[in-house]
Amino acid sequence: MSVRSQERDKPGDGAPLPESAIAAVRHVAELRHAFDASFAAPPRHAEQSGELVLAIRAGGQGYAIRLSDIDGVHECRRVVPLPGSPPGLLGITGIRGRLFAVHALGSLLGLPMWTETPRWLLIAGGDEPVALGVASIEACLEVNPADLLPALSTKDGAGHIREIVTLAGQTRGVLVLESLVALAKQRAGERREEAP
Amino acid sequence: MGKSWTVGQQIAAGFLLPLLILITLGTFSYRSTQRLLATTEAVTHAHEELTGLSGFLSALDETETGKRGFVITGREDFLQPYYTGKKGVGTELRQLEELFRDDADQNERVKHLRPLVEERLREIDETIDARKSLGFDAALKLVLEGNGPKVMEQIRRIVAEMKTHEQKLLTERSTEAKQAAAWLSQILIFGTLAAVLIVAGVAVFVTRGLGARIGAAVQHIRSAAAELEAAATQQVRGAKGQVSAATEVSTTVRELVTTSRQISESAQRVTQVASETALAAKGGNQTVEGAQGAIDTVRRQVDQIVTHMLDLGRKSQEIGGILDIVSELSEQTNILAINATIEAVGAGESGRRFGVVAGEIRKLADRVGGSAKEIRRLIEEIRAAANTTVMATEDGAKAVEAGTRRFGEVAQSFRRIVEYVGSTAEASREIELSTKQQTSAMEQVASAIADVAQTARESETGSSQTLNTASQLSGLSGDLVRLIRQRQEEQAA
Repeated sequence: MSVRSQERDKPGDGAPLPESAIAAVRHVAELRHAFDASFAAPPRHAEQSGELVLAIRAGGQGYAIRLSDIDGVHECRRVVPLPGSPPGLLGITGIRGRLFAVHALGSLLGLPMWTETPRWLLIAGGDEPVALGVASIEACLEVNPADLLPALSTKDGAGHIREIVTLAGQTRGVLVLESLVALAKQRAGERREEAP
Repeated sequence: MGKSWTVGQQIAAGFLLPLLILITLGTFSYRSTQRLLATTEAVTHAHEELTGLSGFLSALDETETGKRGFVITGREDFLQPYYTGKKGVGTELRQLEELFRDDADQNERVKHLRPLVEERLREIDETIDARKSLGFDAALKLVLEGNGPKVMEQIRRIVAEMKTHEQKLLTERSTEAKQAAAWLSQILIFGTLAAVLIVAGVAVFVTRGLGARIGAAVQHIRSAAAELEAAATQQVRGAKGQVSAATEVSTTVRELVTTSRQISESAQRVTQVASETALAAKGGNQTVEGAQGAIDTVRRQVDQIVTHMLDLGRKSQEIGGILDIVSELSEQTNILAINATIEAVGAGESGRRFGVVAGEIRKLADRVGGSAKEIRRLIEEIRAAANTTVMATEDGAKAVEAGTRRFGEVAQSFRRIVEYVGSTAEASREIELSTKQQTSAMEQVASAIADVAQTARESETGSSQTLNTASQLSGLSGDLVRLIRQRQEEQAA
């Protein structure tokens, strides 16, 4: 490459950079500044923290889940299907030496696009936990409890939503995992009862 | 006289007969004159012979006279006649021999005279000697006893015979002379008369014949003169037209010469412009070749740019692969932070601080994930930009290829232009030379046309003179015709 072209590639020299390049450079600078500032910020007290919610996507829809309602999040690696399992019960998987029944969250919510391959498994259910497969975990955000508003209608989410929250400008329903886990166990129990 | 004879033959034939008459008459006259002259000469000769005989006798008498005087006187001065006579006798005797040489009779008589004369002279000498030496008596004795008178008588007799003979001859010759003179006179008179008559007849005959023929010839000449006059008139008109045409042609040729010179000057300017154009085209060709070299350089650089951009695309893809790992790690970290937070919540009050740390880790993981997404977006944009750049560069390379071909065509066109301009310059030079040669030829043609015009004017002048001459000839032939007709009418009358 000639010296002239090399000089032309230098920023701020020669022809002006395009708008996209300027925005990218500015964004990189903001990220660097935020990253550096995170280490300089003073530690926050636990009492001052809000409610942590997970923004997830299942069955093609976005939802929110209180972090306190789940027992863990794990990557869905291998799910062994069960013969004769009801719809929504994807199979079983092993996490840290324990077996979990994997249910498609979209199927439990009654969404038509629940057959997607789950990327993550949400562990919930207390002593008899189950794994709920979701397509993706979009974010883990801390929200002010005042931002959790009661849901006016329970039609959406087949009665498993009692609150709504606005995350990044998008309103999402906050799922009630107890009913969903109960529904999953109910479907598994129906299957067990149907077995001879 | 035949009609097929020419005028010369007729004139020659007309003069031939008088000429023959004149020759005959001249011949007879000549012969008669010769005869008359011969007779006259013979008469003269006879007179000379008679004179010689008389002189002979006179000289002989002088010797006798001198002897007698000396004998009588004894004086020497009386001998002078003797000496003179003795000398004259010898001379006269030799002349007589010479004069009578052609006459045998007279010659014989002269021969008889000589001894008698010698004897007579010897007797005289003896008498004189005797007078001198012996005196008068002795001399007288000799005179008396001598036969001097006899000898003298014989001499006188012979001389008389000779004179008689000569007189006779003289008479005969005179008669012949008279006859010859009369004959000559008759010949001259009658011959001249005959010649005059014959010449007059021949002249009349020839005049009539020639008059008829000359009249016909003059008629022909008159008609020919009229035709010549008409032809000369036509020739004058033609010469005038020729002069006018030659003048117009000369003017046109001068204009052509001027035009040819202008063409030559234009061709010279074209040659100069073509030479300058050839230089400019060569410069343009060099410039195009230089530009073509620069375009080749640009093409190589474009190829390098394409290669670099493809490398950039591959590197971006590799960065994307690494970024997938980073994203996956950040996601795992985020999940771990979430789980840590859950565990911290489950740990109660003691896990609250741990939860804070886990939250910070989660936030950091979120930021890393967001940054990774942003980087992926940027990389995608870079890849898209690289692809766009590659495509644009390939389009540029194609454009450069097309430009190279165009420049090649332009260079080829410039080379053709150089060749064409060179050919044009060469052709214009040839045109210039040809035009100069043409100008020279046209100038020569102009000069020749001027000569032709001059010749035409001279021809016009000559034709006018010919016309005048033909008119005069026609007039003269008319006069000749009138003269001949008048003559014939007079002869007929």
